[in-house]
Amino acid sequence: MIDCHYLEPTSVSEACTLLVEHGDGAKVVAGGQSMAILLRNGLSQPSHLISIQHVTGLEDINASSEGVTIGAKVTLNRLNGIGETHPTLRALDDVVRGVADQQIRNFATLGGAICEAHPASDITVALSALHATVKLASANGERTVPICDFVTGAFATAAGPGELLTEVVIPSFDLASAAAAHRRFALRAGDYPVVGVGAFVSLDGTGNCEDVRIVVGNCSGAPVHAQEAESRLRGNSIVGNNGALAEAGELAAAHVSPAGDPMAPSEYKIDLVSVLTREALEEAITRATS
Amino acid sequence: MKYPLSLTVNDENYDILVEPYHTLMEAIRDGIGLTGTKCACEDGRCGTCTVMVDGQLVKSCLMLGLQANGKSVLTIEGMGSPDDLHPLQAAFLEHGAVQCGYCTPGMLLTAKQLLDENPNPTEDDIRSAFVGNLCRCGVYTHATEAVLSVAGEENR
Repeated sequence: MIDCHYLEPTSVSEACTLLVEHGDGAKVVAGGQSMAILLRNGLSQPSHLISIQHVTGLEDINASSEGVTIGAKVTLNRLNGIGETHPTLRALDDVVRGVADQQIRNFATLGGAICEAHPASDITVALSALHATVKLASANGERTVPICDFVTGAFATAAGPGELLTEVVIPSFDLASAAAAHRRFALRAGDYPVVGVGAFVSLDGTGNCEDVRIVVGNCSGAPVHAQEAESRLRGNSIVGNNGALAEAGELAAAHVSPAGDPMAPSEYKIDLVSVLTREALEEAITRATS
Repeated sequence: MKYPLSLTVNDENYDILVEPYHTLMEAIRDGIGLTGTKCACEDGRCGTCTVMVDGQLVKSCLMLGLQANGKSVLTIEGMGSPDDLHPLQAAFLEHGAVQCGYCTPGMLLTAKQLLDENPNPTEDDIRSAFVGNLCRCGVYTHATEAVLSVAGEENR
């Protein structure tokens, strides 16, 4: 078996120093809910596990006029119901209540879920639709990266050597005219979804679509932006316009070419993208207009 | 490299040595010798290895042993004994909520956590709580009835 060391820094700067010191062999453990599986299956063979369990300052949820900031160590269970306290986060709430089960949500962290970069992660999809950014700390200071640029592929992120994800920032928007929603389909309760879609819409004074984002998950290594579908809607009437939303669904479906698997062939996933895109848009519009 | 792990399991203190990649389940079963916590999928899907850590439900195959260092763990052995069954254990027997029995320790811990948080759950609450516990014999209906029969009792 691998020779492995276990380190427990107590601050972000100490964690970053250890990450630099141990280079590629170092892996961060937050809640451990994915790492335990990677270790057991030999998919990760770190020389040093850097547990951030005792790192302080990463467990806060703060709201300001600019948005909501969520610490990397906030557990998914704490986010269950977050849409009630922070209504701009309802799309994240849509996702979290369906992730795995209470046992896992009790310890799985938001930062861990993002950094794992699982191709089926709904969390990244919802956060991309919400235009979230992540804050990365290192010995050189901090940098902020849009989440859609942070997750670069299946199990791959843009985190550089010695960087630690410390915060997720979800920018605020006008709840009177904008909203986001996420819709997923999973074969069994708690499973990763076959497909998940996140949608954000904002309406102008006349009720036309001012801005829209459609993000499709589990059809590629990283979440995919369905740009043609967005262009179809931007500037046009969308409230109650079922035809336009259905067309957007079809354009989103035409945008992806997911690999099939025995439980869900590619054509099935593509059909789901069409349906879930329409449903996510409908729900976002309902929220934006109510 | 082995590290010292100090755990309080069912109110008893244990000091053992574990590798960083050893899970809490391995620490409990192999390190301490309490085999009531079952090992099945080792992939976080089945929930047979469910225990409580500091009052929070967790699948012990998904937590590294060292993450639980200094914490208090409750396993099925701490819930009740053959001579002094926990009301949930008695109810599972009474309602025949056990067939092969492999999922039972995890289901009982999950049921305990549910009733600790919500003494009067609905049938839907109970079914939702069991999402993370797979039973391939299919005792869910009996288990749900068993939990309902204990719900609201003061001596849980």
